[in-house]
Amino acid sequence: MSAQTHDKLAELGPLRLGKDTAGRVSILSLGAGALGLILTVGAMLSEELRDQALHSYLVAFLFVATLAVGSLFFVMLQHLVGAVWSVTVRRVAEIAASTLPLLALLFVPIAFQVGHLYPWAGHAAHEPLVEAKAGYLNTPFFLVRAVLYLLLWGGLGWFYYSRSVQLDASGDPLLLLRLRRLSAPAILLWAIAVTFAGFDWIMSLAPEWYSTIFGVYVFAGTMTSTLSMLVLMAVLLARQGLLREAITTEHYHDLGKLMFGFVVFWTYIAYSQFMLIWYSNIPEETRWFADRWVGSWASLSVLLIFLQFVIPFFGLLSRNAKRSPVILPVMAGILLVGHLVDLHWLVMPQLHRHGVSLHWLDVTALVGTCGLFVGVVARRMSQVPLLPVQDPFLPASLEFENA
Amino acid sequence: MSSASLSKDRPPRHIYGMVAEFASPHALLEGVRAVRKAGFTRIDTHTPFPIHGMDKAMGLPPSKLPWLVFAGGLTGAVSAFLLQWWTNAVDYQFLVGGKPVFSYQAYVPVCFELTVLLSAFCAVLGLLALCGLPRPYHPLFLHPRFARATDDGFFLSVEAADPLWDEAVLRRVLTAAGGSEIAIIREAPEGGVHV
Repeated sequence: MSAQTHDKLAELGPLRLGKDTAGRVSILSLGAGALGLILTVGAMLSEELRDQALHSYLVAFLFVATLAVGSLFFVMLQHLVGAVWSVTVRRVAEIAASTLPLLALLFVPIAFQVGHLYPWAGHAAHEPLVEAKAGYLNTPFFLVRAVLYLLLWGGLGWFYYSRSVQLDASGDPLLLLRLRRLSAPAILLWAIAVTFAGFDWIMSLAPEWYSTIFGVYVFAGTMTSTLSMLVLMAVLLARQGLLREAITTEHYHDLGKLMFGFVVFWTYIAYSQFMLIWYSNIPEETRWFADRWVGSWASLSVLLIFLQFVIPFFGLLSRNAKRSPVILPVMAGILLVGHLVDLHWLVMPQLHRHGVSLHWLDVTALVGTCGLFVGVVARRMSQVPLLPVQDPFLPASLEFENA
Repeated sequence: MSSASLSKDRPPRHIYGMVAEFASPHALLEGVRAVRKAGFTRIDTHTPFPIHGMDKAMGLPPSKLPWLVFAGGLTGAVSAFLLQWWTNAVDYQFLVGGKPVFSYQAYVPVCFELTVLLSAFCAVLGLLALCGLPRPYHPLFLHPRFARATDDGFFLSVEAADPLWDEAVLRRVLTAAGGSEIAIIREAPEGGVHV
């Protein structure tokens, strides 16, 4: 580390979350999370609550999984393109992605209940259209695929996190080069895994229905929510007096640009999926959207358009909004809620066919998965520096300014 | 500088302003700050590439272009929607694929395309208009060294229309700020330039 860089880092103040704060947050989150998970998984054993518990759990699992998996994509993307501006934001994303090996365990309850959650493994297994897909939609192959996705994400998440922490000690630029070389093939595999996980875990809830663009739709929602989470994490850290001089208005501005871009992307993909199905008007395709236009589901569909498109699009359109310490986090919060509503909208109509029906298990499941995620992230934030302190591009990132 | 090329019986040409050269982007930034500090406002810089921080140093207000583009986009979306609604649902009702005559779901692609098209038109034409382009003639072009503004020259110009315009003071400020090759630029003579 050059003397100059050393001075600059010293000016940034503490680089780790305080042990007290981290301990408090993680004990609280892990405690609440454990309680939520016990209640939700326990409910899966009851005949009466099982279906509700499984669907609620799937939504909650997907919410946290997409945030961690999206963070992994963010990290790999920055390596792939050799981005300089994002170096100060990267460690936060690395920590979020480092939870992936643990989050993989959260898939276990689903793996044991495939027959109850997915109609193709249960009551709809002998429908002609479903039987024709049995070569792909069968429980053993489903589980093998799930293990492959989770191994890939868990392995990459841990690899990118642990190597980056290694770089803090060694400062070996070759290490950075290796991460960069891996990023191109890794992103390719990542994209295939996200596409097929979207097919397997969400789309196959309606086994007669299919949409080839569905994986891209899942990717788009993953990115709007991940970027929003990164913005909110940075804001929360700044409130603790951390990274204030490291993640500046300039970095928020760039995160805002990406958020805005993915909002437009989500809208484009969501509409493309809807438009083709609406236009061709084939019953087994339109049924899926018709299910989401029944009773109060129609209101939720409209709400989704506002949360994921109308409000964030106009809210983030202006340069001033992206640089605002108020508007940007508010939009990030809206997009995060929007992503949760999106997942609920994707999963729940398969269970509650006549309208939106919230259940206490929706809350316990969400508290369970989010609690685990937040608890682990908070702990790690006190263990490793919140900046890749030896990254050769860190000084340039600290000084980054939008033209 | 060009007085030698003028014969004595021609009328005197109006002074457009004064121009100075700086050695580097950084020197130019410092020059701009010094000239602004001295109170001059009608200044401009001419460089081969955009210089980081120059907008701020020159005190340029935020561009109005985003508003033009927004207006263009809004016009595109609204006019595309009205066009489709009027033609399909009102003026010449025509059933397509058993859908209702007013099928707004199908209007989105055209609305999107026209939004993009008019936004792009407004961005390009608005940029030209706000920059005062196209502009085949500018007094600075008469300065023999000015061509280097597209190569390796960093120029700072102050217009004679500046309320504080004073040749001697300005020359002193520019010299003190590190400017060289300071020259007075005159408008082209009546009847155009004869090279």
